[in-house]
Amino acid sequence: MHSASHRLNFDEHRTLFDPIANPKKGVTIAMGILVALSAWGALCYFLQWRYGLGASGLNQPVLWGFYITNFVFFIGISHAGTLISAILRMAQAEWRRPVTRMAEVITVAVLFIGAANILFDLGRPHKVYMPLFYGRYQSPLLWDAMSITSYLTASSVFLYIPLIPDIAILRDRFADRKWLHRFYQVLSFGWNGNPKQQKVLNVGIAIMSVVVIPIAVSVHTVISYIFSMTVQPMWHSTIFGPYFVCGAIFSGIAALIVMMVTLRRVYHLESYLKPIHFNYLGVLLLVMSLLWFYFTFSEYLTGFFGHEPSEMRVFWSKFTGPYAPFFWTMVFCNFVVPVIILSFKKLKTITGVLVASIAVLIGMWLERFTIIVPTLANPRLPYPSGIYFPSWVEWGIMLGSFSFFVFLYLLFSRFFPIISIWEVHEGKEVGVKEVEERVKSYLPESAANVST
Amino acid sequence: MRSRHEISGENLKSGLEGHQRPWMILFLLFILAGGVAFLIGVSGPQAQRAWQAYLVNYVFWSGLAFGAVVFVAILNLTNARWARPLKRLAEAPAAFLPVSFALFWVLYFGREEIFPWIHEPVKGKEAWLNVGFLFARDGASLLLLTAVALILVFVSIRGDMEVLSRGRDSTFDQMGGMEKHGGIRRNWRIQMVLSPALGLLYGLVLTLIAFDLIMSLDPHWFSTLFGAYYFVGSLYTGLAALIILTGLFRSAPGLKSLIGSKHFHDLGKILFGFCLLTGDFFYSQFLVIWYGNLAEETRYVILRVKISPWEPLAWTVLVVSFGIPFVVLLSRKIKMKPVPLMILCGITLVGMWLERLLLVAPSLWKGEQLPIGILEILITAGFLGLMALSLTAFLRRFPLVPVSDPLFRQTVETSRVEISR
Repeated sequence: MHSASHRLNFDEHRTLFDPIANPKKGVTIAMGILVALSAWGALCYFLQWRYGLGASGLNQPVLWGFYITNFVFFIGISHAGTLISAILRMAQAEWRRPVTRMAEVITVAVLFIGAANILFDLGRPHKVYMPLFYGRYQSPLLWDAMSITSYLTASSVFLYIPLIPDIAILRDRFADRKWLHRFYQVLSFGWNGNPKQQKVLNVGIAIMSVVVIPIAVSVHTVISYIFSMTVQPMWHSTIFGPYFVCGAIFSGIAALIVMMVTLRRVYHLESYLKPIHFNYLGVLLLVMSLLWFYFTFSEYLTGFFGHEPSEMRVFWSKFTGPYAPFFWTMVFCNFVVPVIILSFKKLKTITGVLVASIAVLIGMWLERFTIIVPTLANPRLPYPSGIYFPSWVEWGIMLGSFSFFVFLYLLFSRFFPIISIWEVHEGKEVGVKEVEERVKSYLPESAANVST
Repeated sequence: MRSRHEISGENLKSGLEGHQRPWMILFLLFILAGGVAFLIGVSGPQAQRAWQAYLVNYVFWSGLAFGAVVFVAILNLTNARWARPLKRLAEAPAAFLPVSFALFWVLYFGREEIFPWIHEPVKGKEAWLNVGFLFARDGASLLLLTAVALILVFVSIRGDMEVLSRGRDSTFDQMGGMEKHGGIRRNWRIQMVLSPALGLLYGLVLTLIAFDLIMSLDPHWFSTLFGAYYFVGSLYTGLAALIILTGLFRSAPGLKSLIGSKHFHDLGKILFGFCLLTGDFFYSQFLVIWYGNLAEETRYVILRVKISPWEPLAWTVLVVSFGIPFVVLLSRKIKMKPVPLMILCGITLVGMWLERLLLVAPSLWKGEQLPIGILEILITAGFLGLMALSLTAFLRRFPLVPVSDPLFRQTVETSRVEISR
C-alpha cells in the first residue's frame, strides 16, 4: 500500500472531500444556530454558577436530576462508537468500512459533554479537582472518574490512529491552501504510506481494537456501580452492570444510525452508505432491543419477587404512580416501536430504521431518568419523599449540551472526512482479496491445494 | 478434489460408522448404575442428598443441551458461514431434550426434599412459590422451549434427508441444484423464523428455571442477574461440549475435509468470550452484594465463600471454570490444537458442574463434609450416559453435515471457485 494518496484518485471520492473543499451554506448556518443554542446553555450555567444549585429544580431528596440523567445518557451513547467500531474491526466485518469513523467521532465528542454534565451537577464546581488529592478509593465516583478518563484517552487514540492516512490524503489534496495544508501536515505525522508505516498502523489499530473493548465495557459497568453500590431501593441490583452496558450499546447504535442518516442526506453519501448498512445496523438494534427488554423484565420481575417494602414503593411509583407515563413511554419507545419496525422487512427501510432509532434515543433517555429520579424521590430511610421538577435553567443546559454535541460533530466533518477514505479504498483492493483468503482458510486443505 | 468426493451420499448417510455397539453398552451401563444409585439413594436415609445431586445434574445437562441448540440458532441468525460444518454437531444435544423433559417431572416426586418453602412457606410469596403453580409454569415453558428446539432441528434435518433420498449414491456435485427445490427453501425459511423465537424463549425459560429450581431453594435471597447468569453459563457449557464433539468427530468421513485448525481457533475465541462473559456476570453479582452488605443478600454469598465445607469448593470453581480457561485461552497455539482444546473444555465442564453444585447444594445440604462422593459420581455418570446415548442415537441416524443448508452449500461452492481457477 505504498503512498496511499498517490494511488488515490481524488475525483473518485469527491463527495468525501466536498464538505471540506466546498462547505455548504446550510451546514454553516446550522452550525451558527447550534453555537447560539450552546451559548444559551452556557448562559444558563453561568446563572447557576452565580446563584448556586437553587437555580435548578434539584432539592432534597432528589439531588440528581437532568444533569446526571444526561451524564449517563451521553456516556451511554459514547458506546456507539468505539465499541461498535472495535467489534466490527475485530470480527473483520467488511461492511464496517464506511461506518467506523462516524461511530468513533460520536464517542469522543459525546464523552466531553457527558463528563461536563457531572460538573453541572456540582454545588461547588471550583473544587472539582479535590478527589484527585483527597479521593476515597472505595468510592464508585472515583472509579468512574478513572474509567471515563481512560476511555476518553483510549477512544481519542482510537479515532486518531486510523485518521492519520486520511489526513495525509487531505494534506496532498489541499496542497494549494496554505494554512489548511500546514494544519494537515502537522497532524499527519509525515505519513507517506510506505509498507513499514502501514504495518505499524495496522498493528496499532488491531491493538487498540482489543484494548478498547474491555475499557468500554468497564466504563458503563462502573457507571452502574454509582447506583448499585448504594443500598437505595431499586438501585441496589446485581443486574445493573450488564443492564447498563446493554442499554449503552443500544442507545449508541441508535445515535449512530441517526447521525448516519442525517449526514447521508446532508453530504450526499448515498453511494457510500447503502441500504445494506442500515439493514445490518437495524438487525443489531433489534437484538439489543430484545436484550434490553430481557434485562428490564428480569430487573422488575425479580424486584417484585423480592417484595421488599421500600423497593415496592419505588416499583409502584414507576408502574402506576407519578412516574408511570415516563416508564410506559420508555417501554413503548425501547421495545414496542423498534421490534415492530425492525421485525418486518417492509418496514425496515432507511426511514423505518431512522424512526426506530429516534424512538430508542427518547426511550433510553427516559430509562436513565426513571432509574435515577423515582428512587431518589422514595429513599429507603424515612425521609419525606420528594418530587422533582426541572427548572428552565436545567432545560437550557440540556438544550445547550445536545446542541454542542451536534456542533462538535459538524465541526469535525468540516475538517476531516466523515467516512474513512483510505479504508473504503482499501476495501476495494485489499479487502476482497483478504476475504477470499479467509474463506479459503476455512475450506478443506485439499481444495486449497488444488487451486495452486 | 478429494474433499468433494468425500461429501457423497454414501458418506453422508450417518455420522457414525461401525463399532458403536460397545460404546452404547457402556453408556447403558452408566445409565443403569446411575439409576440404581439414585433409587437406592432416594429410598435410603440420604434421600435429600440424592435429590440434590439429581437436581444439580438436571440443571447442568439440560442447560448444556439447550445452550448447544441455541448456538445453532445464533449461527442461523448471524449468517455464519465459518461454522456451517459444525451445525449438525451442535444440533445433536437436542436429542437429549425429550429425555430432559421427562427428567424434569421426576423432580415432582422429590419436591418435599428439594424445596424448603414447602415446609416453611414464605409470607407474601405463597402465590409464586407453590408446588402446583411451579410445576405447571415450568413444565409448560419447558415443553414450549423443547418443542421449538426440536422443530428447528427437525426442519433442518428434514431438508438433508430429502436431498439424500434423491441422490443417495451421487456426489455432492450431483446433488447441486437441489437447493433450488421449493421444499428446501421452505425449510430454510422456517429455520429463519424459529431461530429468533428459540433465542428469545431460551432466555426467558432458562431464567424461569434458574429462579424456580435454583434461586428458590433459598427463598429469601434474590439476585436480578441470576437468570442471565444461568443462561450465559449454559451457553458456555454448550459451547464447550460442542468443541469436544467437534474434536471427536474431526476425522469422521463427512467432516474430515471440512474442519481445520481455523475452526478450532474461532471456537476457542468464542469460548474465551463466554468465559469472560460468565466471569463478568458472576463478578457483577458478587461485587454488588459484597459492597451493599445487606444481611438478607450476603448470607447467601458468605455461606458459599466463607464457611466450611464450601469455601474450598468456591475457590476451586473460580479457578477451574474461569481462571484456567482464561489463562489457557489467551494462547493462540492452544486454541488451534484440537486435543489440548478438548482437554480444556473437559476441565471447564467439570468446573461448571461444580459451580452448579455450589449454587444448589449449600441451600439444602446440612452435613459437615462436601456432598461429593460415590453417590454423586454415579448419578452424574447416569446423566452422562443418557446424554451420550442420545448423542449416539442421533448421530447414527442422521447425516453429519447439513447438506441442504444453503449457507453450507455456499461455503463449499466457494471452494469450487478456488478449484476452477
